[in-house]
Amino acid sequence: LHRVPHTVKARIAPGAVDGQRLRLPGKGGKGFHGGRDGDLYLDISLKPHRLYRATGHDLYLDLPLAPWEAALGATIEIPTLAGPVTLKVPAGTSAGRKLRLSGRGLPRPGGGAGDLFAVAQIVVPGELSERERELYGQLAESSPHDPRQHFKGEGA
Amino acid sequence: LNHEIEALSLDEHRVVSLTELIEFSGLREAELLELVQSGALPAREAQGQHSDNSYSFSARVVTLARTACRLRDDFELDMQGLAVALRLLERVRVLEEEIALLRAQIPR
Repeated sequence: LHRVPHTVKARIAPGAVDGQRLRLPGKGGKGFHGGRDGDLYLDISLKPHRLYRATGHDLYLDLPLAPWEAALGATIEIPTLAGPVTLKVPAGTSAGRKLRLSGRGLPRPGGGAGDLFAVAQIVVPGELSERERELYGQLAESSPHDPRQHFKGEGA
Repeated sequence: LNHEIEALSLDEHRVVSLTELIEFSGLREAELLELVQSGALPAREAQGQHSDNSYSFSARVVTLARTACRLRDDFELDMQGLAVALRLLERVRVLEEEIALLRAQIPR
Protein backbone atom coordinates (compact mmCIF):
# COMPACT_ATOMS: atom_id res chain seq x y z
CA LEU A 1 0.00 0.00 0.00
CA HIS A 2 1.52 3.29 -1.11
CA ARG A 3 -0.03 6.52 0.17
CA VAL A 4 0.57 9.75 -1.69
CA PRO A 5 -0.82 13.06 -0.42
CA HIS A 6 -2.55 15.10 -3.06
CA THR A 7 -4.37 18.39 -3.26
CA VAL A 8 -8.03 18.64 -4.18
CA LYS A 9 -9.79 21.77 -5.38
CA ALA A 10 -13.36 21.90 -4.07
CA ARG A 11 -16.11 24.43 -4.68
CA ILE A 12 -18.12 25.25 -1.58
CA ALA A 13 -21.59 26.64 -2.25
CA PRO A 14 -22.71 29.65 -0.17
CA GLY A 15 -24.40 28.84 3.11
CA ALA A 16 -21.79 26.72 4.89
CA VAL A 17 -21.57 27.42 8.63
CA ASP A 18 -19.13 26.71 11.44
CA GLY A 19 -19.06 23.05 12.50
CA GLN A 20 -20.71 21.86 9.31
CA ARG A 21 -19.45 18.91 7.33
CA LEU A 22 -18.89 18.64 3.57
CA ARG A 23 -18.56 15.48 1.51
CA LEU A 24 -16.24 15.20 -1.49
CA PRO A 25 -17.31 12.01 -3.28
CA GLY A 26 -14.51 9.73 -4.45
CA LYS A 27 -11.73 11.88 -2.98
CA GLY A 28 -10.91 9.60 -0.04
CA GLY A 29 -8.71 6.49 -0.09
CA LYS A 30 -8.41 4.23 -3.15
CA GLY A 31 -10.89 1.36 -3.31
CA PHE A 32 -9.60 -2.22 -2.99
CA HIS A 33 -10.47 -5.24 -5.15
CA GLY A 34 -12.65 -3.25 -7.51
CA GLY A 35 -14.39 -1.35 -4.71
CA ARG A 36 -15.16 2.32 -5.24
CA ASP A 37 -12.85 5.01 -3.90
CA GLY A 38 -13.72 6.39 -0.48
CA ASP A 39 -15.07 9.88 0.16
CA LEU A 40 -13.30 12.82 1.76
CA TYR A 41 -15.14 14.60 4.56
CA LEU A 42 -14.29 18.19 5.48
CA ASP A 43 -15.20 19.93 8.75
CA ILE A 44 -15.88 23.63 8.30
CA SER A 45 -14.33 25.91 10.88
CA LEU A 46 -14.91 29.65 10.49
CA LYS A 47 -11.99 31.95 11.16
CA PRO A 48 -12.99 34.44 13.90
CA HIS A 49 -13.84 37.90 12.60
CA ARG A 50 -12.69 41.17 14.16
CA LEU A 51 -16.25 42.48 14.54
CA TYR A 52 -18.79 39.71 13.97
CA ARG A 53 -19.42 36.55 15.97
CA ALA A 54 -21.25 33.88 13.97
CA THR A 55 -23.67 31.31 15.32
CA GLY A 56 -25.33 29.29 12.59
CA HIS A 57 -26.32 31.87 9.98
CA ASP A 58 -26.83 34.69 12.50
CA LEU A 59 -24.17 37.26 13.33
CA TYR A 60 -23.64 39.22 16.55
CA LEU A 61 -21.96 42.61 16.65
CA ASP A 62 -21.08 44.65 19.75
CA LEU A 63 -22.71 48.07 19.52
CA PRO A 64 -20.95 50.59 21.80
CA LEU A 65 -23.21 53.51 22.77
CA ALA A 66 -22.51 56.68 24.72
CA PRO A 67 -24.78 56.94 27.83
CA TRP A 68 -26.77 59.80 26.26
CA GLU A 69 -27.27 57.83 23.01
CA ALA A 70 -28.64 54.90 25.04
CA ALA A 71 -30.90 57.18 27.09
CA LEU A 72 -32.16 59.52 24.37
CA GLY A 73 -32.02 57.22 21.34
CA ALA A 74 -29.85 57.81 18.27
CA THR A 75 -29.51 57.13 14.58
CA ILE A 76 -26.16 55.56 13.89
CA GLU A 77 -24.33 53.89 11.04
CA ILE A 78 -23.21 50.31 11.57
CA PRO A 79 -21.10 48.03 9.36
CA THR A 80 -22.79 44.97 7.75
CA LEU A 81 -21.50 42.38 5.27
CA ALA A 82 -23.25 44.26 2.46
CA GLY A 83 -21.93 47.68 3.55
CA PRO A 84 -22.95 50.26 6.15
CA VAL A 85 -26.61 50.66 7.12
CA THR A 86 -28.40 53.16 9.33
CA LEU A 87 -29.79 51.81 12.58
CA LYS A 88 -32.28 53.57 14.83
CA VAL A 89 -31.44 52.96 18.47
CA PRO A 90 -34.61 53.47 20.53
CA ALA A 91 -34.57 55.78 23.54
CA GLY A 92 -34.05 53.89 26.82
CA THR A 93 -31.80 51.17 25.41
CA SER A 94 -30.06 49.25 28.20
CA ALA A 95 -26.79 47.31 27.84
CA GLY A 96 -27.34 43.81 26.45
CA ARG A 97 -30.42 44.75 24.40
CA LYS A 98 -30.29 43.09 20.99
CA LEU A 99 -31.30 45.12 17.96
CA ARG A 100 -32.12 42.83 15.05
CA LEU A 101 -31.28 43.63 11.43
CA SER A 102 -33.26 41.06 9.51
CA GLY A 103 -31.49 39.25 6.62
CA ARG A 104 -28.11 40.91 7.30
CA GLY A 105 -26.42 37.71 8.50
CA LEU A 106 -24.74 34.89 6.55
CA PRO A 107 -26.41 33.51 3.40
CA ARG A 108 -28.52 30.35 3.81
CA PRO A 109 -28.13 27.43 1.40
CA GLY A 110 -31.82 27.50 0.43
CA GLY A 111 -31.78 31.29 -0.22
CA GLY A 112 -32.23 34.21 2.14
CA ALA A 113 -29.86 34.95 4.98
CA GLY A 114 -29.62 34.89 8.75
CA ASP A 115 -30.01 38.01 10.90
CA LEU A 116 -27.49 40.45 12.30
CA PHE A 117 -27.91 41.30 15.99
CA ALA A 118 -26.33 44.47 17.31
CA VAL A 119 -25.84 44.04 21.07
CA ALA A 120 -25.92 47.36 22.92
CA GLN A 121 -23.05 48.22 25.23
CA ILE A 122 -22.95 51.43 27.26
CA VAL A 123 -19.48 52.97 27.14
CA VAL A 124 -18.74 55.82 29.57
CA PRO A 125 -15.99 58.36 28.88
CA GLY A 126 -12.69 57.33 30.49
CA GLU A 127 -11.89 60.83 31.66
CA LEU A 128 -14.47 63.54 32.22
CA SER A 129 -13.94 67.16 31.37
CA GLU A 130 -14.87 69.75 33.98
CA ARG A 131 -18.11 70.51 32.10
CA GLU A 132 -19.05 66.82 31.74
CA ARG A 133 -18.48 66.19 35.44
CA GLU A 134 -20.74 69.17 36.23
CA LEU A 135 -23.50 67.92 33.93
CA TYR A 136 -23.34 64.33 35.28
CA GLY A 137 -23.46 65.80 38.80
CA GLN A 138 -26.62 67.76 37.96
CA LEU A 139 -28.16 64.63 36.45
CA ALA A 140 -27.32 62.56 39.54
CA GLU A 141 -28.99 65.13 41.78
CA SER A 142 -32.16 65.60 39.77
CA SER A 143 -32.84 62.07 38.42
CA PRO A 144 -35.12 59.74 40.42
CA HIS A 145 -33.70 56.77 38.48
CA ASP A 146 -32.59 53.89 40.75
CA PRO A 147 -31.14 50.93 38.83
CA ARG A 148 -30.86 48.85 42.05
CA GLN A 149 -34.41 49.19 43.30
CA HIS A 150 -34.83 45.39 43.23
CA PHE A 151 -32.02 45.02 45.83
CA LYS A 152 -34.14 46.72 48.46
CA GLY A 153 -35.43 44.47 51.21
CA GLU A 154 -33.02 41.66 50.24
CA GLY A 155 -30.14 40.39 52.41
CA ALA A 156 -29.44 41.13 56.06
CA LEU B 1 -6.20 16.13 -12.96
CA ASN B 2 -6.67 18.89 -10.41
CA HIS B 3 -10.18 19.80 -11.55
CA GLU B 4 -12.62 21.45 -9.20
CA ILE B 5 -15.29 19.27 -7.65
CA GLU B 6 -18.52 20.24 -5.95
CA ALA B 7 -18.49 19.74 -2.18
CA LEU B 8 -21.82 18.33 -0.98
CA SER B 9 -22.95 20.18 2.09
CA LEU B 10 -24.30 17.86 4.79
CA ASP B 11 -26.85 20.30 6.15
CA GLU B 12 -30.54 20.44 7.04
CA HIS B 13 -31.55 21.56 3.55
CA ARG B 14 -30.21 18.54 1.69
CA VAL B 15 -32.15 15.29 1.83
CA VAL B 16 -30.64 11.80 1.48
CA SER B 17 -32.52 8.54 0.86
CA LEU B 18 -32.14 5.34 2.87
CA THR B 19 -30.08 3.86 -0.01
CA GLU B 20 -27.70 6.85 0.05
CA LEU B 21 -27.40 6.70 3.83
CA ILE B 22 -26.45 3.01 3.59
CA GLU B 23 -23.79 3.89 1.00
CA PHE B 24 -22.41 6.92 2.86
CA SER B 25 -22.41 5.44 6.36
CA GLY B 26 -21.27 1.84 5.89
CA LEU B 27 -24.12 0.60 8.10
CA ARG B 28 -26.42 -2.18 6.89
CA GLU B 29 -30.07 -1.46 6.07
CA ALA B 30 -31.34 -3.51 9.02
CA GLU B 31 -29.01 -1.64 11.40
CA LEU B 32 -30.08 1.76 10.11
CA LEU B 33 -33.76 0.85 10.38
CA GLU B 34 -33.28 -0.36 13.94
CA LEU B 35 -31.57 2.91 14.87
CA VAL B 36 -34.37 4.90 13.22
CA GLN B 37 -37.05 2.87 14.97
CA SER B 38 -35.37 3.30 18.35
CA GLY B 39 -35.32 7.07 17.76
CA ALA B 40 -31.50 7.29 17.79
CA LEU B 41 -31.31 8.40 14.14
CA PRO B 42 -33.88 11.05 13.23
CA ALA B 43 -35.73 10.38 9.94
CA ARG B 44 -37.76 13.00 8.10
CA GLU B 45 -41.55 12.84 8.24
CA ALA B 46 -42.64 10.34 5.55
CA GLN B 47 -45.25 11.30 2.96
CA GLY B 48 -48.30 9.02 2.78
CA GLN B 49 -47.95 5.26 3.29
CA HIS B 50 -44.91 4.37 5.35
CA SER B 51 -42.57 1.61 4.20
CA ASP B 52 -38.90 1.06 5.04
CA ASN B 53 -37.82 2.34 1.62
CA SER B 54 -39.78 5.58 1.98
CA TYR B 55 -37.47 6.84 4.73
CA SER B 56 -35.52 9.96 3.96
CA PHE B 57 -33.09 11.89 6.13
CA SER B 58 -31.61 15.33 6.54
CA ALA B 59 -28.03 15.15 5.21
CA ARG B 60 -26.86 16.14 8.69
CA VAL B 61 -27.70 12.57 9.76
CA VAL B 62 -24.88 11.24 7.50
CA THR B 63 -22.28 12.35 10.08
CA LEU B 64 -24.17 10.64 12.90
CA ALA B 65 -24.61 7.42 10.90
CA ARG B 66 -20.90 7.34 9.99
CA THR B 67 -20.02 7.80 13.66
CA ALA B 68 -22.34 4.88 14.47
CA CYS B 69 -20.49 2.74 11.92
CA ARG B 70 -17.11 3.60 13.46
CA LEU B 71 -18.40 2.90 17.00
CA ARG B 72 -19.75 -0.44 15.82
CA ASP B 73 -16.44 -1.41 14.19
CA ASP B 74 -13.95 0.05 16.70
CA PHE B 75 -15.73 -0.81 19.93
CA GLU B 76 -17.95 -3.64 18.74
CA LEU B 77 -20.99 -1.92 20.22
CA ASP B 78 -24.28 -3.75 19.80
CA MET B 79 -27.37 -1.93 18.55
CA GLN B 80 -28.58 -0.94 22.02
CA GLY B 81 -25.14 0.44 22.88
CA LEU B 82 -25.04 2.30 19.57
CA ALA B 83 -28.47 3.82 20.19
CA VAL B 84 -27.39 5.11 23.63
CA ALA B 85 -24.09 6.48 22.25
CA LEU B 86 -25.86 8.26 19.37
CA ARG B 87 -28.43 9.84 21.67
CA LEU B 88 -25.65 11.16 23.92
CA LEU B 89 -23.64 12.46 20.94
CA GLU B 90 -26.71 14.23 19.58
CA ARG B 91 -27.29 15.77 23.00
CA VAL B 92 -23.66 16.98 23.09
CA ARG B 93 -24.14 18.52 19.63
CA VAL B 94 -27.29 20.39 20.71
CA LEU B 95 -25.58 21.63 23.90
CA GLU B 96 -22.50 22.76 21.93
CA GLU B 97 -24.78 24.70 19.60
CA GLU B 98 -26.41 26.37 22.60
CA ILE B 99 -23.01 27.26 24.08
CA ALA B 100 -21.90 28.74 20.74
CA LEU B 101 -25.10 30.83 20.62
CA LEU B 102 -24.61 32.09 24.19
CA ARG B 103 -20.91 32.82 23.58
CA ALA B 104 -21.76 34.84 20.48
CA GLN B 105 -24.00 37.06 22.62
CA ILE B 106 -21.32 37.87 25.21
CA PRO B 107 -19.65 41.21 24.49
CA ARG B 108 -15.92 41.05 23.88
